Amino acid sequence: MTPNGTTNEGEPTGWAADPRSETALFLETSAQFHRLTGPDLIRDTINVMIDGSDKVGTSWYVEREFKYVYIGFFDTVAGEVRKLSHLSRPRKFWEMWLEVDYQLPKYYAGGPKVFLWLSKTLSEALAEEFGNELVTPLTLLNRVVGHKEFLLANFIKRKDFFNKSSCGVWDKPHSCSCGPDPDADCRLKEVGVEMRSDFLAAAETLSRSNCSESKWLKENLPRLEAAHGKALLDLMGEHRDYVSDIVIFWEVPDGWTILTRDRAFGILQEALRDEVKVYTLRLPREASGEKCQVRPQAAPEAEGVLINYNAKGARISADPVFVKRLRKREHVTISTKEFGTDEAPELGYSRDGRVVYRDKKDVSVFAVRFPSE
Amino acid sequence: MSTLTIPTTQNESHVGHPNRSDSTRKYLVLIADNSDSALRTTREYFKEVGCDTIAVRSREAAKLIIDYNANSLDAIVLDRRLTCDDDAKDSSGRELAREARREFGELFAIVVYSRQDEDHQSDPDTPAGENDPHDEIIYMSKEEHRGVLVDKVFQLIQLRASTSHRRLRLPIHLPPPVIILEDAEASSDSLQAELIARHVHARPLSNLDDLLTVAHHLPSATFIIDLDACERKGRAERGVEAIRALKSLEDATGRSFYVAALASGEEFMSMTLEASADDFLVKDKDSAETDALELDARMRLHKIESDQIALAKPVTKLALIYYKKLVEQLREIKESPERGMASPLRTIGRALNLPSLTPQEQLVLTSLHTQMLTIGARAADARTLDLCIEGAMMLADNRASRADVRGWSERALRHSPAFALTWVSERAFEELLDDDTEWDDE
Repeated sequence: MTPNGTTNEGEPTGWAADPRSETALFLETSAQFHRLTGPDLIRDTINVMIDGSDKVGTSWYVEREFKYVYIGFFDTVAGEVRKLSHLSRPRKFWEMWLEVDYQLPKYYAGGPKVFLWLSKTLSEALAEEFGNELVTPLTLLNRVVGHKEFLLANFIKRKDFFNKSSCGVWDKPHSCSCGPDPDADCRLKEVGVEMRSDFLAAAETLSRSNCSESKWLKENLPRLEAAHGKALLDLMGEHRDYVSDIVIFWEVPDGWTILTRDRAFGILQEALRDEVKVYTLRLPREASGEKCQVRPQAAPEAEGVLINYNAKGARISADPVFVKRLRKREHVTISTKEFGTDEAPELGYSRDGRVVYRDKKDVSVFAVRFPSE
Repeated sequence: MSTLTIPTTQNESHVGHPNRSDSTRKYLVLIADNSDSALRTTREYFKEVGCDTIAVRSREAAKLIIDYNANSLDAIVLDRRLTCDDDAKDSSGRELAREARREFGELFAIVVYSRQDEDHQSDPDTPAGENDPHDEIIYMSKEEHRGVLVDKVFQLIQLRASTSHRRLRLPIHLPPPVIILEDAEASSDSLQAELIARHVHARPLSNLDDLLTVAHHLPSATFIIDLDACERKGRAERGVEAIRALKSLEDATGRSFYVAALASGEEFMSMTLEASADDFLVKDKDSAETDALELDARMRLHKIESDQIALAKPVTKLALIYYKKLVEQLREIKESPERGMASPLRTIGRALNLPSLTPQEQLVLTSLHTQMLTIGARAADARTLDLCIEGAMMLADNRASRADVRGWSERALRHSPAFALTWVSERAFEELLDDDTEWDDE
């Protein structure tokens, strides 16, 4: 059983009514961020887990990534606001924001998706706040920095703070001066040199999966395998976005539970480490048990049972022979009373989606993902 | 007011009034003489009768003192040959006297005295009887006993004090000077000219003692110490000493000085910086324009930094007014929650428009603002209001500098997510970080 709002990768279909205490809870970057800014349910889930755990920790690389991606975003925006002329002269918010937005870099460290989302959320929040009022760049600046300071102050960093990654290779530009071998103070050598085989095994595991870093890892696995000592550390530093999950994964000590939103950790845990657990944050699913009809595009329909669902998708149990014939991404229509409402039954009981998952352990179970509305 | 007897060769009794009748301040007399001994003697006489004196050795220093202290001076006593005693044509003292009279009218009495028997009577360019006696520049011989000089100066001061027009105060709108300490013989006129071309109020000085004297009578100034000039006189260390003295004066009196050392090499750099110089510039030997540009840029940067520091005082005062008001408004709302958040929101809006807020202030204000916007016209729950009041009280207590802002924000967020922006909606949470987290194939 896993806490409400999380998925244990080992038990992908289960979720409990109440969050469970952990002996030692490790907050990965996404968990740190969602604790502060996520939907209420997610924040509450994380906080209850923190309160119920004997120890709560995080790592050097998590802090670096948190600052690099989120704090870096606010610093970039604040930097552009500071460049506006006449900081104390009131202007229309949108005029100012267009000027700021135009100057923001088009490539961003956290990835374009994260950048666009942060930028969009901030602009919407500020637009709602200021509307058509006249506002000074100074006020805008103080608000932006205020949000940043809030995140910075509330990053959880307690006495359990693990570090197998601090090194100048992460800096931009690269500021590591040791060589040809890492020096005695280098902490990254613990992951890149002493645990080299573990690091490479993790890279190989993710290269075979379907994560955001998989493509690069697949193409560059030979380069990583060929690099030794400082050369490997340099390579890691040059491509930090593709190795960061691996580094964090190996910073977590045995016996700890990783709380994350990133599926890469579940994949790594399942393949490489029984000594840690991974909980992946997700919105809860409604348990059902109602009968449903599953209608594929190119095959006869079949009857099944809706196990659980949410706005994003559904898990269904059906005849294993029928499930085996389903193809990945195949379009299906699910009809069940569960999807209707008593107030508006005319809206129908069906939802369209695509097959995205077949359970390897229980061959009668598959999952459908609903399109975004 | 006591009557002082001034020693004179004639053993005459002179009526002295060392203190102004309109204030407790003593008469202030500027004495300029390029002869150290003459300067010392003259000064002693004036001091002996209770005057405050400013003693300088050059025309440039005297001009600076006059320009920036005209309203405080009661009299100026200038050596006619202020630049070179052996040059019969030197009348730099007289020229300065005329310039001062032209620029400042009758603000102070002016006496020019000289060693030679020249110009003893009234200014030949000013026909006698054309002006009132107190408008004239008085010429005296150094052959006269200093007591006579002192007596004459007192007469002039008293005469002026008895008339209404003397007590005029001229508004002086001069920018703080940029004083370049240079070698008079190997003068870097071009640097001064380049600075003036950039609208920098550059003024040369060649005497270290004058530099320190002038510094005592300027509220703010920039000093550029040319260490090469000091070294040519075999006293580069004196330049460094002057820097130390200027910075000590600044610290002791709250003046605003920017002191930069200028040299053709770096050998004095560490010594200069140890003496607390604000800057050290290595000269471009080929271009005074480059030096002037660099100085101009650094001086402007220093001004920005100084203004930033000066800004802190009114901002702190204003911020504390807003924060106290905020505490009161929130307490009133706690008494009558139906009031809504409009008033405190306005106050926070004004506070957020202040420059130079600290990160703690930005955090607390933004957090309160976010919460209050969510509450709007509704009645807030008691715990939320308590947290808002606590936040405002932290601000009111020395701008939250001593507060556990982190602890407060943690408790506030635990109680109500509305103390922070919800960046990730449920929809975004599902779609953002990795599309396939939950439902993808393995």
